[in-house]
Amino acid sequence: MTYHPIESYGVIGDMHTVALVGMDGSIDWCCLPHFDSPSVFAAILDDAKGGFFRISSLHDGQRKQMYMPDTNVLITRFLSAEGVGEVVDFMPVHDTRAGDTMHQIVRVAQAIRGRVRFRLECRPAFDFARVPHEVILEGPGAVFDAGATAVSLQSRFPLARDGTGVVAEFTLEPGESATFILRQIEGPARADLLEGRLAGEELLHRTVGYWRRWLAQSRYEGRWREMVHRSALVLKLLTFEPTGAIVAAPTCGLPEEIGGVRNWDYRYTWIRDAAFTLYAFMRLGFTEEAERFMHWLEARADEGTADRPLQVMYGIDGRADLPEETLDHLDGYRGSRPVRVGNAAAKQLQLDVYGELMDSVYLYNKYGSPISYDLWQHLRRMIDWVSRNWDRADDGVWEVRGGQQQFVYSKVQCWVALDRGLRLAAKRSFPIDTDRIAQERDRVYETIMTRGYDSQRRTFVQYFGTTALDASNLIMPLLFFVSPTDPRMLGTLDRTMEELVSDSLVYRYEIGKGAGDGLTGLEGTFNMCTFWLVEALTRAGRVDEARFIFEKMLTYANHLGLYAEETGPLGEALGNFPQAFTHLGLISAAFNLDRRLRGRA
Amino acid sequence: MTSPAEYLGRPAEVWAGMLDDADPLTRRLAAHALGEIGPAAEVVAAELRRALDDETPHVRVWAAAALARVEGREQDAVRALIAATAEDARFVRSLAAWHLGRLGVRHPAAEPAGPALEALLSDADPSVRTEAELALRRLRRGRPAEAAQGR
Repeated sequence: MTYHPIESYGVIGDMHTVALVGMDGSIDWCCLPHFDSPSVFAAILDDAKGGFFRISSLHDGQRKQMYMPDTNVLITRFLSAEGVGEVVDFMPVHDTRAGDTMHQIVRVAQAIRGRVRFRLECRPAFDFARVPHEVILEGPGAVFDAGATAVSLQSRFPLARDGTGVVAEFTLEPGESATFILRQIEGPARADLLEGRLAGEELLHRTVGYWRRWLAQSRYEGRWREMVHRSALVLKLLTFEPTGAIVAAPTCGLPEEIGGVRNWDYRYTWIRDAAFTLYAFMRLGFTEEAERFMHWLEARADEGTADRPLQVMYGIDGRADLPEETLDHLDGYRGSRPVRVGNAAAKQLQLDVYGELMDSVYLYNKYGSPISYDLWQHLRRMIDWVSRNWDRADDGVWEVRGGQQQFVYSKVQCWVALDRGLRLAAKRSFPIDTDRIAQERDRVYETIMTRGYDSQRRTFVQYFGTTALDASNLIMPLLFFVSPTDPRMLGTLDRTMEELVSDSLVYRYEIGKGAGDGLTGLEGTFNMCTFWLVEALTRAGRVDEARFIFEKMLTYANHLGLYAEETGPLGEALGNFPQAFTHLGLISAAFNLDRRLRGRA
Repeated sequence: MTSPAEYLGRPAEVWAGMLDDADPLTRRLAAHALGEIGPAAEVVAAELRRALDDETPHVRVWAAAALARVEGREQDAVRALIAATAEDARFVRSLAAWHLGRLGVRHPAAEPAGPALEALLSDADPSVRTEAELALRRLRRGRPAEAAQGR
């Protein structure tokens, strides 16, 4: 096997974990039972020993992928002169509250036209290929037993043992299908692994129904509806059902530069995503998802301590400790090393998280449900902490590892934290030291305007004392920090477009200028920043430019409408995939641009 | 693509030798392999025919399904599959129903399978009933599809 482009994958999942499925019908990434569990298949991180599960046609020809409309059920098509075959991949959604903890990948191979010959090859490699396993062939399939973890593969066709995996070839007649189920269970009940009928059609029917019922709640009727809905389906897929938390992306180690060192683990929940997530879900009408995420946030606020009320990111189960290690035995995607699991940035000081949290609570209180007094007590403590700590240097929104600075974006979000706190208190008549908090809010504002603005270059800068730009400043009008037509914002917009934009796509900052991130190499343009540019232009009234950039950005999605974190110089996807932040940005930009275009019509 | 005369890189003769293996799972795999090789495995049809009398019922089913593919018009294979629909083990009845349905699309000798499959529609086991229903559906729609493709 060789490494496939990141953008060549589709994603399926059951809101506990996902699997990435390549155009060749190979599942090259899956962690079980949860997003942040050790991997079972990780060929994207090491094509030789990472593990994969492939079902593909043996006939030469074209391959295509599509989702069944309005679902996360993926179809990989194999077109050849001999016939057309398909593999339908999905993960049935189950109800954990009903005690069902079975995680399974269902793969239905079908001959659509002509007789089609398929080959199946399943080679799991447990715990990022660190834990060996035993292959046990049984009547209806095989069990791969790695001790603490085991998965089974149910197959109607006999499987042949092949080293640490199994293989089979089979021919399907026109119209015939065959179901294969890869299943993992927690606990010692190994005997159950191969039980049950291979009810592919029934599971498919149920799963399709689930996704269509879920998406039918959407209230979005604007332009680019398919892309907005695909983004919503991705976000739902990245939601951890037991807690309502959303992972930033379901992968780790996919590089920001091929062969580079910026290879992070994104299988955690960032507080930063909170406001965007709530905004996106509420805008589209998914109030239950917004409510569940709000409860998750409330639990994190409840756990905060006096000296550190909030952490940058958490595990999907709410755990605070995410120790980082490098997996040096893995090759890394196309040699991009090291592969990291865990995330040391969790312990960084990133002041912006308080603004993002307060903004999300403010939005939820306004458009969702009124918040409780108990939550307000936590928030009040947090607001007080920000009022006393906003002038500290921090690691910034991009989690640079090159030393702390007085980042402008962090200060803006501190202003947001204090501003939303005051607004919320006024709206709900909650107790707060209004005079002191307002005084600090204004100090933050004036500090940004004096130290964070370069009057010679007529632009906001990355941090106090530098002339370097940062695309995160594009968000200022979205947060109502400045008017979108304020000359300072218009200047920033122009300067950003001159210095950080390449063919409509936006770099988050200039590597080598401004705050160093402590690493070598380059990176691609940052998709979320491109959507922020669209929003800033929209709000500045430059709607035609905004629309052009937005629609151009849509062409950088993959064949299924999915985005990674970044886009490289050849239009390739870079970084972890698919990325929630990008899809959140797409939803917000589409919503606001469409609204502005409707108003103009 | 693997050569039609081979399965997983091994020729028919090697798989035919495995029909005598002590492990029924290996014998089952060998039968499937010969079925996938199809008419090119005719040289070992006699060994496959002997496997219709294998001591393990599900191996007999796989051998019958393979023989039908290897010999094309094999009545004995279909008779063996029909006989397997009356086996005690429910998974064997279900397996036989599935194979009869699979053969029905392209095998003229599958005609007598209809009554046997209809009998399974009232089987005590729900998975057997489902397989029988699916097989009958395939048998009934199989011939027009086959004709349309000029086979």
